[in-house]
Amino acid sequence: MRTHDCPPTLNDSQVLDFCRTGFLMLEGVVADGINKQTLNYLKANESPTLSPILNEPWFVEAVICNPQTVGAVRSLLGSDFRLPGLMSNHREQGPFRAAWWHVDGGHLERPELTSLQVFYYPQDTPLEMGPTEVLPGSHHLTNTAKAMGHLGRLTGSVSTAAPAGSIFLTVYYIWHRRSRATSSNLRNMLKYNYFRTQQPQRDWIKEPQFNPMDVDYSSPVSLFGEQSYHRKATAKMFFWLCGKAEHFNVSGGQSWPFAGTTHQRVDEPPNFPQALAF
Amino acid sequence: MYRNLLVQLVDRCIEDFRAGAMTEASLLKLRGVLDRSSGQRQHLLYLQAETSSVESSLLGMSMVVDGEVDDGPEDPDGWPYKCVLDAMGDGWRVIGFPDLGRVINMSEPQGAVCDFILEKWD
Repeated sequence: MRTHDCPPTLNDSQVLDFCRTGFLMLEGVVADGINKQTLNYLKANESPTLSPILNEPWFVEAVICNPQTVGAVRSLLGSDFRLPGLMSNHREQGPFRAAWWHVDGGHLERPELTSLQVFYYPQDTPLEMGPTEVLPGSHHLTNTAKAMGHLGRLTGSVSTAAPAGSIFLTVYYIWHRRSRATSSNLRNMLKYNYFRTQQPQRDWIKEPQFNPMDVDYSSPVSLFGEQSYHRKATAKMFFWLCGKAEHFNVSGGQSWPFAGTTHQRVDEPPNFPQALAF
Repeated sequence: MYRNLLVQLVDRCIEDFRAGAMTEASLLKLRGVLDRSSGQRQHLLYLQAETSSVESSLLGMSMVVDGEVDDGPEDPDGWPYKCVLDAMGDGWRVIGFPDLGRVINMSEPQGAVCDFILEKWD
């Protein structure tokens, strides 16, 4: 089993933000020379399954163990996380129409974050080349790929259009799809997973002022679900990552974390479990 | 809609025939309607609304128009309708209502479940 460890690079707020959106874009983090080397490799290896590239030291060092990427992975999956053992290339010749919205197969229970789905663009991937579209926050929504085929435009969706060398991390079960390409260019998109090996704990960068009792747990897809439930889902995921899942408890109504931060309270939110305090 | 019109026209032809008043013009009218109906196509409009109310705001849309799937404008401000009621006012007929058994699930938030399906024929 190939594992890796390094210092975490995300702080409390950034980890919470990932819990809210299920999505983190790292633009242009891979060097141009490596992007070109990757594209040359892909020209010689057109298969959609590309796992042998994981035996190439230059690729492992510069892409799989890219410092910004593994720093974020370390923050979210803990120490000694497992490196990808499979690599896919979603290689598409434009122009093409948008694909169906879906969650990938094999998604399990939430809020456990036991793996991360990661995407790498070795070439510039502007809108006209059909980059992946994601719906931030949709990892908190329940749906199946079979029931999503009729969906088209969704309010709040974002494009991952980005320059060459960009890598983005997602919760495995985030809603996503290939967007429409209007150009005739070839789009490569490498997709792979990292896995947790350790029990979760708050071992990312701690912010002294971060107070989990009064931070914003709202999700970008708040309108899709029952009012305020998205706050509970975000908080549950965050405290699971903190290793405090057994202490997570909510009592509903206007208590923590349902009320949010937009209402100016005159006191602290009721029923914040003290065992969750930092 | 067209079926009702056709039945109505055929009934009128039968009445005219019985009354000895059947004319070429009434048969030509019937043929004209048949010609039009044979070229008809169904169009579909999928709308995802915030709630099961036809007046609630839209979260998503897609269409099947002239046999082609069309996501509609990228920017929600450019979507052709602001709610299901708007689409009904433009001649779309609701043929599918949100599955409330799926919506009413208190265990966790659901996603885009208030699906309305509408159709138009022309």
